[in-house]
Amino acid sequence: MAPASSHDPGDARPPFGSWPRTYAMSMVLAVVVILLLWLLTAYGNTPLGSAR
Amino acid sequence: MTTTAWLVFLLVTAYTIWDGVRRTIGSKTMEGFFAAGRNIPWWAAGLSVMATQLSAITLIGGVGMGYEGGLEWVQFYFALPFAMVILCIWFVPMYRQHPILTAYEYLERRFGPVTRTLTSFTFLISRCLAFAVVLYAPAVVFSAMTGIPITPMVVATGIVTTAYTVAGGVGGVVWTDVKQMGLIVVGILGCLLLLLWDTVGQLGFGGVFAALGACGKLNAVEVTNPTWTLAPATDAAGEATSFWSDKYNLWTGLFGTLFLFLSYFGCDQVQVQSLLSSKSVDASRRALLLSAFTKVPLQLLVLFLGGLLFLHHGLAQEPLLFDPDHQARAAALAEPQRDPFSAAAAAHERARGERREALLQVATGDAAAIPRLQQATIAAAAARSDARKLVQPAKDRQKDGNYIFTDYLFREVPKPLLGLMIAAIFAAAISSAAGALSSLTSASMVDFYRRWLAPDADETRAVRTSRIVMTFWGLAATGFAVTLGDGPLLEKVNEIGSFFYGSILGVFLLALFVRRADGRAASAGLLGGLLATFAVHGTMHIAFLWYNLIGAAACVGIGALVAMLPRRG
Repeated sequence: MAPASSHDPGDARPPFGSWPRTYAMSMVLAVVVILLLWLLTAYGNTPLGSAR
Repeated sequence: MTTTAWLVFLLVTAYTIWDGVRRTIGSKTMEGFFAAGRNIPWWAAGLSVMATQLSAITLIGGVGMGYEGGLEWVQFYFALPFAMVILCIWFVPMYRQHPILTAYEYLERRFGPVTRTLTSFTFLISRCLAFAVVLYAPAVVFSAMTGIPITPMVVATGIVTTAYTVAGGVGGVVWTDVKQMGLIVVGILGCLLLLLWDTVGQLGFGGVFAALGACGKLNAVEVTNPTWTLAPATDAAGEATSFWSDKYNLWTGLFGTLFLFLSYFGCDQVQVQSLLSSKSVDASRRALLLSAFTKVPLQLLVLFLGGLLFLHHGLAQEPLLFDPDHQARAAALAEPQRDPFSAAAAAHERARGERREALLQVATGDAAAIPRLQQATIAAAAARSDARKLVQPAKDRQKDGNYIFTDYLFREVPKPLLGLMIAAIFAAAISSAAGALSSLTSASMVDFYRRWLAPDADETRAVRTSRIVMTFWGLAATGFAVTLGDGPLLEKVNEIGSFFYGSILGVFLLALFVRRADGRAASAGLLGGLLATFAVHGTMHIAFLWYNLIGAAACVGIGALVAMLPRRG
């Protein structure tokens, strides 16, 4: 059994050109999604029991 | 279920399994059977990772959680992308530098055979109990809805899962997972469109969001809670809440679950086998990232579905009791309880009427109706809770969240869609069970049989033995699931993984980041981490998500200390 190759010929390039850039973009995207959900909560939600 | 629903269910399920298994049937080598010849494309491995993680109870319970608690559960998945990036950077290259078949095989190269065996054994203990629950839990719900007894349902699920996993190996599991994931998404979207059609038709698109927000169902991020204290509550039996006992908030979502996901996706053979089956390091990385970025939207869809179902029932007729067992008990209530039950039903009816009226007003932009809507929502939930307590005195059987979605499916959706959804939920059940079965077998065969019992066994004999061992695990888990019984164990067992995950992760962290650590340090760390987790569980009231962090920290701390001790000789 040979060790697995590090690159797949069919997917030669990482999604954003390089893996470090892909990781950075992934984390930025995750933070943006959390922020958007926080905005949805902050401006669209009234916690149950809090309305007077 | 009608004949149409049964037909759709059987045809879709049979096609899904056949099309998955036909590609890999008859593998002759261990690498072919347990790693699909390292030939799985990244997208298939990524979808398999998702399908394995999405169990039937996660799907139907998720809709129930959306119905009762809104979007708050999505916070549980916030750490997933961060965990996946960490795994891509450190864990994937670690696994793929050698042609290994189990995650624990790597530990022998780093620490020696004792650590590998101990860690693999810990995995087998934690996984075999969870496997039985994966088979049992959906059968409880479907048995209640269809009237078919639990035992034949568990046996059928166990036999189908075992048969196709034995036939196709890990490759068959992965390709079946791909079809099953597609089926699950189509089913969810079908129900979502149906509910959107109904609720948007009555409230308008903006009205749906206004109404959901006014009922507190758009609570995707919770940063603080007025009842929190930072000191952990020490009374495990009490109701005291602290920062550490609250399960769903931004902080548990980012830090508590980070360690759960690192361990589950990075050190649990159930998930690692998909990564080891893909074509390359890059393919494994792409698979993890695909899973990370599709999981959160999918979970949001499931919870949103629950929110829409809440509106749908709010505008039409919300059942007082969802669980058929509760309904049967209500019909047979004795005289002393009948009056308070009727009072709870009347209170629910009143609150439901007020809620419907307020919902329609809020949807038209009348913010003054929000307090009335909230009061009616709280009153309706309280009346439902009172009714459940009256019909079912046992506290651990009063929850009915798992029946909210199935009640809707069986009563209201068109029969072909019901058949499709049942096929999707069954697919979620068997894909999780198949992943557990193949991982239990690969750990037993690779880390025990081939390592200790028959190191010289040729490939043909090893694969033949693997199929026998897999059949044994499948039948044993099915037998165990039949005897589980519908009790508190079912609730608790889902948390059992967290007792072990943190310590197993700690061993891998020692391997990666503590250069001085040897087999002695890793074994001491593993045992110390397990002891610390059980000690915390026995003395403090802390949400189980934090056990992963506690176990990992204790394992790394103890392992690093032992590594600093002078070596004998």
